[in-house]
Amino acid sequence: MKKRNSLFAHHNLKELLDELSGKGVKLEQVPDTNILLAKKGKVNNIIIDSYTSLVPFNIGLAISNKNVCRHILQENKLPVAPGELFAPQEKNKAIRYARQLTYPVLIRQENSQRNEKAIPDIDSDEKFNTAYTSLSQLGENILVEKMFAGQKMRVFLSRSGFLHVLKKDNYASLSTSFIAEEKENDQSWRQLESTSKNIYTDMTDDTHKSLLVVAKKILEAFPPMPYICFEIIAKNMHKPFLPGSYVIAEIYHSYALHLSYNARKATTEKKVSQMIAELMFP
Amino acid sequence: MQTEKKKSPKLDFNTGLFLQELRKRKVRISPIGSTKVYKASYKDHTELICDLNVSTTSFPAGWITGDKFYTKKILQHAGIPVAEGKVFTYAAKQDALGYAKKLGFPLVLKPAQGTHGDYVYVGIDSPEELQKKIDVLTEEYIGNGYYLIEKYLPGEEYRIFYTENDFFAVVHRLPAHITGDGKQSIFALIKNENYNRMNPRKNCLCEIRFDDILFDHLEKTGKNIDDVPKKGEVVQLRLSSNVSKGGNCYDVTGQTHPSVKKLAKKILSTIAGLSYVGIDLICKDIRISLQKQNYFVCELNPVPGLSLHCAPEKGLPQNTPGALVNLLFPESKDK
Repeated sequence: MKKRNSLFAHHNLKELLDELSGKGVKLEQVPDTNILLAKKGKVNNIIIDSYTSLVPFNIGLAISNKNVCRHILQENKLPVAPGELFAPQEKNKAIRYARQLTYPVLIRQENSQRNEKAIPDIDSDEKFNTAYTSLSQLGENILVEKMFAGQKMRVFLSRSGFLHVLKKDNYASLSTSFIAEEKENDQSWRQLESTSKNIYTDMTDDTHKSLLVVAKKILEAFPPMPYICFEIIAKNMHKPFLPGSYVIAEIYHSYALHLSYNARKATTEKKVSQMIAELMFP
Repeated sequence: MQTEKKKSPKLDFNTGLFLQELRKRKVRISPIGSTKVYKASYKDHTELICDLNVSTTSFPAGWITGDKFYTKKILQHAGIPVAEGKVFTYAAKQDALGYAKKLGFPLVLKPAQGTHGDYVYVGIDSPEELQKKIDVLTEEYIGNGYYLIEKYLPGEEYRIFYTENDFFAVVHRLPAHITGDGKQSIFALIKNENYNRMNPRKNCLCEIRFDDILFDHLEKTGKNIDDVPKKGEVVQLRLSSNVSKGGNCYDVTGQTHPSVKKLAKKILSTIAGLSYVGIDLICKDIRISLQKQNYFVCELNPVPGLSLHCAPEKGLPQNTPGALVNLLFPESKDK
């Protein structure tokens, strides 16, 4: 956790804390913990790790469980990549399933919020064996999913209709000429290059409008969340989001606020952190 | 592609009580796939039920109350009495043992995150015993990798159930015990007691567990499982009172002093976003004002058991499932 103005807070909350302070919200840390008490007038909120009081307990737990999340999305007729859950000791069964899916596949822990517990791009039995053995040592069930090829996007949608979209590119996949041009035109590029393997670009105004329809459907699948954050993989983000052209890869309880601030070509006037602060303290 | 059809997981008893109450109120319930999550709908209002975790409690509030270290810190910050103690990582055994010596025995050892009294050791009275129990806990229980060492303070144990719409219920929990008849061994008396509790099951009581804690306690009190207690002799089988481990449970809502409800209200307002809570309170006598006696909050529970209150061993049942439905679907009240 980074120290900020003598408050210990998750790095993803820096912008949110700035917004809250700007609104006159009093922030107080519970000693020896990462619990932040946020108060303004008669309104009280608690922030811990990257969770705010906006996330209901049951929804936070459901979102943390990748298997439960998939079932909720499927129940609401939202597309997810084909996949199944296996116990840590069911490696042989899992590998037979992976072959049925055909490689490449991705495996991840049933309960996880961070990608470091996911192992993507598994394209052989040998890699599958190694990956599964490694993950199974953590003792949790493992999800085996087919990898969907396409453009990755992180999306935020509030109930009031505020939408924010970031396109995610792996730095290694970008061409050298593209990088050289970007470095020349954008001073912040050098900083992004040195700090991140993933490059995020604000695509809020450039994504097909049907993404909003999909995002609304996802939000309705998790009542009464006041907003939804998710990762979606689409074959072409400029074309309609129709069945077969996209899958929902992951649901998050919080948006990567630091990414929205540091994204390339950020054009949205109102920031996501502003929206979240307004929801916490209307 | 062939996949096995998965069965729905077995329903937890308390969740079953909650779903039953929802159905009584004409709330439509449907399972989501083979998960433990249910979709509950009343007119145009839909909720997702995950065990007893509901949307009226926020994630931070649920997380804090489910973690004994966070609970201790936030209550201390609000001036609410808690047991003196400290948290340690699994790797910090030497620090823990050093702290224990300074704190003084007897002590309590418990995982920072856990339920039903699992791996909670009460009344540890030597460094050797503490070391042994730390080894058991850290080897057998994953949790979140932290445990607490606290000063052991004797007293009567009470569980308070309180909601933000002022529903209040209290049970007095007693550690598992049997009463001798001068003929049967402790082992036989426990077996009989367990049979009577379960055949048929009439209330919240669970079987008395034959575990390391029971055997350790008998040894400490100079007894053996094959001993034959005298007629009328009460033999306590452990120090902790968890009903899931065989403890007894009497409703005392009507006899509880108003200061206890005041404390429950304060706890709920201290943790913003908490809509209902189970409070484990230790004091001498719940009928006396808390201002006139020593007391402390042992721990909180974000999803307290409903059956302790709605099906106690003795006393008046309190409609805790109804109270929970009132929180989630207030529009269905009195249906």
